[in-house]
Amino acid sequence: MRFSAPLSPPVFHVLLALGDDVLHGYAIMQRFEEITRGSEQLLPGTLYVTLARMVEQGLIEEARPKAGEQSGGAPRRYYRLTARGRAAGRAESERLRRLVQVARERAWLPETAR
Amino acid sequence: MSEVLALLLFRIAALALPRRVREAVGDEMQETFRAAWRDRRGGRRLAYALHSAGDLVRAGIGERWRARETSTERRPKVNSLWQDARYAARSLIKTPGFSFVAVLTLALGIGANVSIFSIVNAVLLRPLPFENPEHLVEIWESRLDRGWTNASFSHANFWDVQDQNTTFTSVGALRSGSINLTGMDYPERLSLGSVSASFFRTLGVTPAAGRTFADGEDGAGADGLQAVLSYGLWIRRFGGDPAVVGRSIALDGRGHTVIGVLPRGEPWLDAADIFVPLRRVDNPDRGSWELAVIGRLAPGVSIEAARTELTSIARGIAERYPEVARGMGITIAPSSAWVASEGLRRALWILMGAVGFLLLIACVNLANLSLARATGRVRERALRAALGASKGRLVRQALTESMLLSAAGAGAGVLLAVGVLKVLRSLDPGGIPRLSEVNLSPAVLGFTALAMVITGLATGIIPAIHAAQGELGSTLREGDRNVGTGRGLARVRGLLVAVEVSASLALLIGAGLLVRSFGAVLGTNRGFQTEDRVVAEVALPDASTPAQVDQFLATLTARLEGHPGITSVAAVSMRPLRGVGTGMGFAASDKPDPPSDQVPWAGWRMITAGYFRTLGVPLLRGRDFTPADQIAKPWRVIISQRIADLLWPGEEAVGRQLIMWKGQSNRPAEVIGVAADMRDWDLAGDPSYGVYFPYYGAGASTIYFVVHGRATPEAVRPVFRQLLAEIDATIPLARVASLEDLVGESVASRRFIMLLLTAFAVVALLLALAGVYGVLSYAVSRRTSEIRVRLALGASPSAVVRLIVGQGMRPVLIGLVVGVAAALALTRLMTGLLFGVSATDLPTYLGVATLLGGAALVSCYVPARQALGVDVVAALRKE
Repeated sequence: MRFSAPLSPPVFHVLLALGDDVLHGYAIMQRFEEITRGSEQLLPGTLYVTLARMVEQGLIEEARPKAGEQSGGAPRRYYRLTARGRAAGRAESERLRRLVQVARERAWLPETAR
Repeated sequence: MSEVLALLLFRIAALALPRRVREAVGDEMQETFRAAWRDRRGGRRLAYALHSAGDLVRAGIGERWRARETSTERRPKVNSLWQDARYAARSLIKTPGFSFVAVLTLALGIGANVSIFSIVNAVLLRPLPFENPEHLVEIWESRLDRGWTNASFSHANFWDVQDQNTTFTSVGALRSGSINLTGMDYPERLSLGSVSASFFRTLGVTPAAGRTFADGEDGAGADGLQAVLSYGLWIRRFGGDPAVVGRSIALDGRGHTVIGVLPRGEPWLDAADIFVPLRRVDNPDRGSWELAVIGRLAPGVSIEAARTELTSIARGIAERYPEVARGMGITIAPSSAWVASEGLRRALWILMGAVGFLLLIACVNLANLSLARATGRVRERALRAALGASKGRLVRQALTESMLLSAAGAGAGVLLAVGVLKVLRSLDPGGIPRLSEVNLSPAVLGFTALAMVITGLATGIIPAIHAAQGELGSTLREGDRNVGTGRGLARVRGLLVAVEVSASLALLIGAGLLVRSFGAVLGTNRGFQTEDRVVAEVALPDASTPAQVDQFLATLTARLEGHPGITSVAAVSMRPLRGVGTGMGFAASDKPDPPSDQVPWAGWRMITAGYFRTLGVPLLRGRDFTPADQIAKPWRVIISQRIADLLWPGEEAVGRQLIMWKGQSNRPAEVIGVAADMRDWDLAGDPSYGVYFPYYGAGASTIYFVVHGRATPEAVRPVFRQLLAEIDATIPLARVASLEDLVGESVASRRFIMLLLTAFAVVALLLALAGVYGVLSYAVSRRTSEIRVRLALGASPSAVVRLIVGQGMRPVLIGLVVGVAAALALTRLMTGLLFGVSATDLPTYLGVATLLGGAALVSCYVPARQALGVDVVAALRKE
């Protein structure tokens, strides 16, 4: 399957941060810190290079911001997932899940409650 | 870590990105970085900036790698550029001495330019902190019948202009004063701005907290008990707490409600510590000029249209009130002059020109060095050409090298500028607005980049041309011995030396004139003594009655005089060296009236008995004041010698009648004494016309006590504190300073400009000397064998030295002549900055030219002597 190849961590991070939202770069950074409870961060250089590449690869696309979200100041680009991006995210999650399963079997990870 | 530095770091790191990516997302990425940086605090900011920069470099390299793998189109070009850069870097590293000197030279030149440009940018180029500042103007009354072009407005005239004009969206007025803030941990004398409700609206200011004044709060019936804080006061006394809005504070003992806080900025916003409404009074006064007036032009209205309308309003006022407003007119000027005075603008542009010269000299020096280096490498070039390098490639190679050097020089120069600016800010002489706002803004970085490119081109172009012209075959055969001594090249090098000598001479002459002016200002006869004199400012509430002021003066003076170590004490309403201050027209009652536009203008001061003695000024004729003089009718006055000489030349002035406020109230006064002249308005001016009358406290709020004795500010301050606390604990002591320091302050901005220009001139001198020395010693090293032959054939050593020195000095002399001509042309622009010395001052020109010529002679003599010491065998072996 096409997306069984691992995604690079920043690409996966952006996919996770975007979810179903339409966000600009700064918001993606903030969102990612939020969902990882601050344990991981995306830095601007990696983020913007990754965003540009993901647009090229059709994983995300530029979109209009949701009504009322466009703030004043310099114009910003907003992004959302494409179907392809969503599929890639699912495939990567599945891949990671299998790896984590192996880690559990090695007893590296405790079986956590849901 | 400041935001500017963080952004600078980020921007430099962003260079790692391929241009295509940088152009596409660079701005947004930087905004995101800035926002994220601002989200953090303290040390985490530094960490974040460093992380982000590192991450950016990594992402950039990764991206370039990917681009390289996926496309091959642009590879050859990128490769050869990269090759050039690597080649240049390698060869620069191989000659660390040359590279170090080159980078240092450029760092000095570029650093000086970046420093001064940052100031010019902040002071002259950055827009005012108001909405559409191009629509803002300042308006003055003019009274051409008295020769006044820019007089403050009187109240009634301002309200008339406000009511009658149609060309302005709004006009606003400001009156400066002072007021006591009490009821807090300690009382303080604040500068006060009374403003019409329209004032801040006219400026177009968004308050930092709360609001500014609303219409009606300046009405005749309003209580006027609202206050707007300046940003500085808000931070200093209220800890920047937004909850101060709505609080009540005591000003001169009356409760005022704080309604808002201004943003920070200059001008006007810092015109006072605190602002209250300027209430429209029913009793109109057209004879007391005290309002500064600004206006915002209505959309589409030109300054000329506004001027026409205002002039007709003024004419109407003059017709209706002929006795007080005769000859009234209006002057209007755009807001562009608000931040910097004409003199300061000129001084800054002169400094900008000076650093331009400095950079020119640095470039010339480096061009000369590179040329010497390039001629030494002719063989290497010829070889490369023979192996197939195109001329274009060789030129690009030379330019790449100079660009690399100028980039390194620019980097070091920016670091240097950061240091210089830090020093300048800490030296803040006063009188230079927005100095605290000077920083490495994007405009400054852009300027740096520009200076870098120009420098790179300027220093690289001559070696590049040289590289392209190399005659290949002959060079390879002959070796490099004779190359670089060719006529054409020698002439170019001589020309370069002449250019740097002339530029540094012009700079030195400019600096010399300023140094002499500064000496003249300090050396001028002040008329008053400064040694062991201290001035203390004490502020009484405006509401004090004359009797209270009298009582206060008498009590405090008596107690001070009884203090050990104090010889004498006196009070004055306006201390020396604060300009004309309070002024009046004057005339003699027993002489014909001068034409109304030629009434002379005197500064008037209220003083207590002993003022002249305390300042060490002789009372030439008549007597000092006694308590009886205070209430005498007509008034009794002491005048300065200069007034006596003007009105009653060769006659006895004591006993004559002086007309004060000539053309206004025409109040007569009896002259009871004549005091020696003082330059107490401004040291760099003529002695003042001074009229002194006995201290009478009406409306006088700030009193300056002059203390003579074993007096230092440190010794006097506690004495005042203690005595004031005994008399009235709510009276603040504003400032205590020695008269020496006040003299120093009055010339501080002059000193600042002088020091800067002198520093630049000295650096220029050193660079030029290094250039003269470098070129000649290089030429000598190329001619050692010829010199040995001459000596062997019987030439005397002194003849050889003369020959070499003569050769070295020729371009220097040409440079001196051109430099003098340039200085004559350029220093004329400085006349406004000079005092007691003319722009064509012969001693300065001669002295500086001699200094430079002498130093150049030494720099020529050293290589000439070295040539004589050359070992014969070594020289001939080289043959």
